[in-house]
This record gives sequence, structure tokens and C-alpha cells, in this order.
Amino acid sequence: MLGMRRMIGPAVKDIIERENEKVLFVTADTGRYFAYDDLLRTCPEHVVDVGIAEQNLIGASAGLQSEGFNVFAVTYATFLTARALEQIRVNLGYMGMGVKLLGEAGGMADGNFSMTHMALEDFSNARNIPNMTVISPADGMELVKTLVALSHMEGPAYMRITGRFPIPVIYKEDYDFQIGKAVTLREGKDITMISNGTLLGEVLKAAEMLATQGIDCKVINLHTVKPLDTEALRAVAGYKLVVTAEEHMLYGGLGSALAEFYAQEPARPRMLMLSVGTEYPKAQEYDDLLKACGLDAESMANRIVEEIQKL
Amino acid sequence: MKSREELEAMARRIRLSIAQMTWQSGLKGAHLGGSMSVTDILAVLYGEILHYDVQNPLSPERDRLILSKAHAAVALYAALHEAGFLSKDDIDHALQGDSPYFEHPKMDPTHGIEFSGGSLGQGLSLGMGTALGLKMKGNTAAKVYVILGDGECDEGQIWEAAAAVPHFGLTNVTVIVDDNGLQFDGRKEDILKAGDPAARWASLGYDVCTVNGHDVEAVRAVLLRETEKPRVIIAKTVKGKGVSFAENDVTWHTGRLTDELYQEAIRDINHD
Repeated sequence: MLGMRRMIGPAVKDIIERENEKVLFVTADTGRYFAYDDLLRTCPEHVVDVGIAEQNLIGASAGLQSEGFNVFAVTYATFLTARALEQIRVNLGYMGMGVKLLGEAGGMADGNFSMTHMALEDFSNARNIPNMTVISPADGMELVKTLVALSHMEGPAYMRITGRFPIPVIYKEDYDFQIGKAVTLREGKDITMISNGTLLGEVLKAAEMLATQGIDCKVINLHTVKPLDTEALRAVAGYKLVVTAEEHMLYGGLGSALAEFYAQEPARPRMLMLSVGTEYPKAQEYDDLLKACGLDAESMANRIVEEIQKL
Repeated sequence: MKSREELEAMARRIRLSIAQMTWQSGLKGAHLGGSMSVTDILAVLYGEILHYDVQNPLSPERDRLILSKAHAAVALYAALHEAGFLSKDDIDHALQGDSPYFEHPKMDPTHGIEFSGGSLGQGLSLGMGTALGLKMKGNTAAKVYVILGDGECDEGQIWEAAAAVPHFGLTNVTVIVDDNGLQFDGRKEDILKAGDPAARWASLGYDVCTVNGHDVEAVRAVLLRETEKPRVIIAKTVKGKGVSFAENDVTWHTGRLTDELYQEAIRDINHD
């Protein structure tokens, strides 16, 4: 099993050869990071590297898109969605250019490089762009399914790539992936945990731990943060606790998106929002960062038990 | 080929439309200074250089003009009216009420507006991507023209894109810098020194020439000059050109025209 980012190059090559020859891989000097070598060798005319220049990456991608290409703009998640946010607003939001942003090191995957390489506001920033679809796939299979779906989609989108090698396998068999359609990974009747990306590996472990303590936990993969699967969210509004877990700052991410939704609903659940919090984490290895932020399975399970005791 | 007088008459009509739109915008005003400085360049482009077809505005063969210094929108609207993309009615209602022609142009390729603008520094990236797309498609007919302001060249993104154009061999790109020497807070030289812009562009691989941006024949001559490199034309201009009270006056970056000032502007433009 490859890390998620190293699946991008081969997957894009496959998409160009089988699905959509209009697809371009446009990067800002991070091509090797996505294992683009084979893509570059076999389809060099589909690869554009603009150098370490993310603002130009977005504008150039929009120009290419306007000439009929389907552009995947690929680099670090935070350099896309934070550094080039203004360009994303104007080109993808305002002008509606259907560029697909693929952002690596979503969350804390490259946390040993420090907060500069963590994408902790990307859901928030991307969600606020009009008509922007926002997706965080859970594992390699879902990543490929997302890419294929994006290669045929009209509007702008942001795909967040998470996790460190080896990434957990969330799906053991094929399934029906649709943008905007949440997937129930585990049934349960007491509480519901909602997450996405590779963090679901920890979430599923936490659900197992809770089960040993008699807490029956449903787990939902809300791979699409925008648009929300409101039907799936309404279906769990009656649970005594809905827990969101995300590698993101507290404000503006997955938990916020759900809180915004439920706040305007007639029936709303009690929520517990597990996140990175409101301070930048210190540079550490990924697994240590998860623990430091209380996002490892054990910390999450303990925190949920505490919360349930308060109910 | 149009005569000097014909191009100058077109530029005069554009200036009159700019003054009219600024006046009719009332208290809001408009970016008069930078619109008047770019007027002669737009007159030459739309009068003589650009390939476009109002009846078939989305033709793949059309030249793409990107006004990156998009605050000169009223100059673009006036030029698009000259070209036949916008009607007299469009001009009469621009900058008012719910007109789609407001202070910064909104993307509308069927009316000759290739991309939206307003946030400075972004047009050359769009031009670079467009030019690369054309090259990849084997479309050698369409050319890309990007108009920058000299103040706009403070933006870092300009130089990200500036390096990319020659790097990708985009000889279909012409960059025109409206070098009026003023920006919002004062003289370019006082706000942020740019070194030697001609040398800066040339070092990246452009064919660079400097021209009097108000001499329509000179502007036409440099635009018609054959070159095997992407081009940069540094057009020396006067902010507010043609309206005596606004010329070289930093306070006329934006401004509103009272009835009296509007009449004075019309007299100046007709007399010039």
C-alpha cells in the first residue's frame, strides 16, 4: 500500500489514458512528491510545472481551464488553500473556473515539518468559496474514486489528501462512491462519530474501544464536507451525542459545518467537536501529533466517555 | 491600415466615453487617471491589432485581451463600445444601478471581457495559462495581450507569471505595461522602486521595447513588429492624459466629475 499522495501521479495517468484526455497535472514544484515520474514519462504534454509559485499556479490553471482543459492543480494543501486563497476566490469562486485543487499534507501529515506544512484551515477556506466541492477521501480506494469523479465534474473542487504511510485501509471491498453521499462504516445506536480522511482509522479504533465499554457507536465517513449530506445528518440527529473528529483548527472545519447545519434544524443533537483546537501544534511526528491533539483512538474514546457521563 | 487621424479620433471618443461614465457614476466616481493613460493603447489594439468578431465572439481564433489593471474598466468598456461589443445604451448605463458594467469588469467573453478583474497582479497568470493552453491545442492564430499597470508590477505574482511565459516558450504573449509613473499613494519611484523594469523583463527572455504610449503610430509600430520572443511593451504614459486638471495628479487615481468638471473635461478632450 502506498501513501495517499504517491497514488496521485499513477491515478492521474490512468485517468488521462482511460477517462478524460483533457486532464492536466499542473504543479508548483512538487511533482515528484506525488510520484508523477511515470506520468511525466508517458504523458509529458499533460504535465505543467510552474515552479515554486502557487499564486501563478492558480491563475495559470484558470487560464488553461478556460481553454477547455480539466486542470488538477497539485501541491501542498496549505500553500494552495491558504497562500493562494485570494487567487482561488477570484478565479475559482468568482469566475467559476472548474479547476480541481489536490492538496497534500492535509491536516498534520507532515507535522514534523512544523505548522508551516500543516493544512489546518483548508476546510474553512475552501468551504467558503462559492460552488466549491470539498472532499477528503478516507483511503486509497476512495482517493481514486474521488479523482475519477472529479475528472468528469464541471465546477471547482478541493480534495484534501491526508495521512502518513502506511495509511489505514478503510474499505475492504468495492462500494458505490458518490460526491456528497456519506458512507456508514459501522452501525451503532448510542452515539455517532463523524469524520473523514485517514483519521477514520483512529475513529474506527475508538469505536471498538467504546464498544468494549458498552457504548454502541455508529461511524460515518463524511468524505464530502461540501455539499453536506443533509439526509445522513438528519438521520443521526436523534442520537444522544454526535462526535466530529478532524485534523483541522476548531473553527470553520467539519465540526463547524455540522454545527452550522444542525443549528438551523428543528431537531439537533448534542455535539462534541474533536479537533486540533485553537493553537498551532508543535512540530512532531504524525502519531505523536495525533496524541498531542487528543485525536488518537484512545484519547478520543476517553474524551467521549467523559462527555457521555456528563449527559 | 487606419490613418493616425482615425486612430486618434477613436481614442478621443474613448476618452469622451470615459468622462461620460465617470460623470454619470455620480458620487461614486471612477478610475479616471489610469483609464485615460491606457486609452491610446486600447484604441490601437481594438482599432488595428486585435482579431475579434462581434458576430462570433467566442471564436477559438480570437485574440485574448486581458486588462489586468482592471480598475481601468471604463476605458475597456469604451473601447469595447468602439469595437461593437457594447452598445451606446451599455455605456449610458455603465457604473449605475444594476448595470453589469461596474467599476471592475466581470467575465463575459460574449461581450469581449475574457476574465474578471479587480484584484491586481493576477492577469498575467491568466494570460500565461491561456497562452499555454492555446499552444498545447496547436492554436497558433490566437494571440494573448495582457495590459499591466506599472504600479501593479509591485505584485509578486506578476513576476511568478513573468518568468513562466518565456520559460514555456509562449511567444504568443504580448505584455503591455501602462507606465504612467503614479500609483495610489504617490509616484511609483517614491512608493516602491522597480529598478530597471526593461532590464528586468529582458533578463527573463522577453523582447522589450519602450514607446510613447500616447503616440498611436508608435504604439502600432511596436505592436506590429515581428519577434521570436514573448514581448513586453513599456508604454510611457501620463495618468489622466487628455484632461488637464487630472494629468499627473495622484488624487485623480479615482475621482468624480461634477457637472462643471465634466464640461471642462469634454472641452479638454475635444481640444487635445
